[in-house]
Amino acid sequence: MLFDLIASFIKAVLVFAVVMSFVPFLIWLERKLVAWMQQRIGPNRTGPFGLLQPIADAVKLIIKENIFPSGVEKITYFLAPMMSMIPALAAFAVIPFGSPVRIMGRTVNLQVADVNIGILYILALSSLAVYGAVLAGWSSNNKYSLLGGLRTSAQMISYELPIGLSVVSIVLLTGSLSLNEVVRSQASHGIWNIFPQFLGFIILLISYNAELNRAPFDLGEAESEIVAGYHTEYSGFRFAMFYMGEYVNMVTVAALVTVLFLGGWQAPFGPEIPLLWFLIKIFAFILLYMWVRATFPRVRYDQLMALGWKILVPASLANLAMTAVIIVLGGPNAVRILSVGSIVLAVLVGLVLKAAVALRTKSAPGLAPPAGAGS
Amino acid sequence: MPSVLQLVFLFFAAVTVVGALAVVLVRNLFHAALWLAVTFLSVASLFIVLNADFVGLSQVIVYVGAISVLMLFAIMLTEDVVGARGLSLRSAWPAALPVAAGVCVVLVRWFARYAWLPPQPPKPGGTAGTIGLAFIQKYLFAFELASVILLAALIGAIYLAKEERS
Repeated sequence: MLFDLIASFIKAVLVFAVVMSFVPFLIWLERKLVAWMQQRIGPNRTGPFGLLQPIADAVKLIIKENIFPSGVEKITYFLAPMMSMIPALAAFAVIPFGSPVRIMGRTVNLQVADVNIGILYILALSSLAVYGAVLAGWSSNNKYSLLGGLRTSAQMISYELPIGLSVVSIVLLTGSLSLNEVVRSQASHGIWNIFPQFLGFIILLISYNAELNRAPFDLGEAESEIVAGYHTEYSGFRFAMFYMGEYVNMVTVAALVTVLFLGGWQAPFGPEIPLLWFLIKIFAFILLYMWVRATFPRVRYDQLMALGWKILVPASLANLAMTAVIIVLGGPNAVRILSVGSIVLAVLVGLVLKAAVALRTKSAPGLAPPAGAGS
Repeated sequence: MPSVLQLVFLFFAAVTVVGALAVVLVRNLFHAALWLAVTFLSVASLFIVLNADFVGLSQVIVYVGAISVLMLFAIMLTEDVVGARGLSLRSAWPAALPVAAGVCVVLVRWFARYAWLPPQPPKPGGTAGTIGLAFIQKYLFAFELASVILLAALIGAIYLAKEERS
């Protein structure tokens, strides 16, 4: 009992420390990568390769005066940055990051809490994350903040739907709501979920990008339209909390996608080295998100809503129906049939999308892209 | 001497009651909606304390994460929700009191008809599987009926939104 208590405590502190120490590095990495992709140099003054820049920024933000702008609602203004950071950190508690290890003759799960409905827990916490933006938008007494809060809340609610529906397909494949069980079932199927759930993977990738409020879906803080959206009025440490919350969220989402689709801590080849493969997969996702951010222009708000409700929700419903039918009819071969069916369905969705875009540009020539602007 | 679990239960029960009172007593509509979210959250905590983990987390996802946020969204779009023109129960309490008292009496009498079980030990596999099976076996009709009603509401909402535009 005492051993378990101490082990949980150590694990919680370690996970917190590791995730939080990722944040400055990720900020540096993102600034540097985006700079390179835009043919700039990026931070290079503070420390080697500008590596100390995020530390300098953090120190500056922490020692800055805490300002309550006039007219803000103090309590909600104070709570908002916490509400954007705490759910992301708390969600990490149920993520398994390695197979159980033996320490001092006892088995220790490499997971802070082995909750048997871990998937629901993560969905619940990510649905709480929207409160940060809502509270900040409302309490700041600023029209741009309010617009940012409005945009973000509508966006996050809309994109939770496809996320939930694609996660349900994973649950159907696994037969359990425990994240440990998800990893184990991928081992026993002998194939990672990304193959039988290819369409679900694509949907989840897009939806989580929107859920994270990252470009090209960063409408809640679109600097060219509404200053900085819901955190316009924030400065100092409170602003830093919003900023950190975004990156912590990114790590959590990358870890979740790794567990759900990429076999968690399992090695694709070679021996299983604890944590190594898990970290490699997480970083692959984070790099993908940074790449997406540097590549795509921001979408318009109606495009965002159309993508969510008219494309992602029906596509994830189709994916769910196909998964359910094949699991019931396919018997022992279900996973193999799904691996083919899911790619076929993804191609179908892509074709329908392409046809719809072609139809729209034909019917409204004013919206057509100029000649030579890609196919 | 109450156990730790009982103290936790009492704490969340108190938060639920305080939150519910604040919902009707606070003048600012936005704050009322926030208090509603607090109430929903502590009800979810009560479920989890009672080992009903699935119901508790569903409560968070549906009520705190979606319904309350939608209310806040609607309130943020509305003008004049702060201030004196905001609707408050304070002026209507003479009418509200007997109704509330009546509902309270009915509910208490209803609850008193059941023999309450002592706290059950947690199920080893969680409650999600049992609930899911009950939905598609014993309570299939009620489940389908609820989904048809929700579908009708959905279609109605789309119809209303379309009407507005033309």
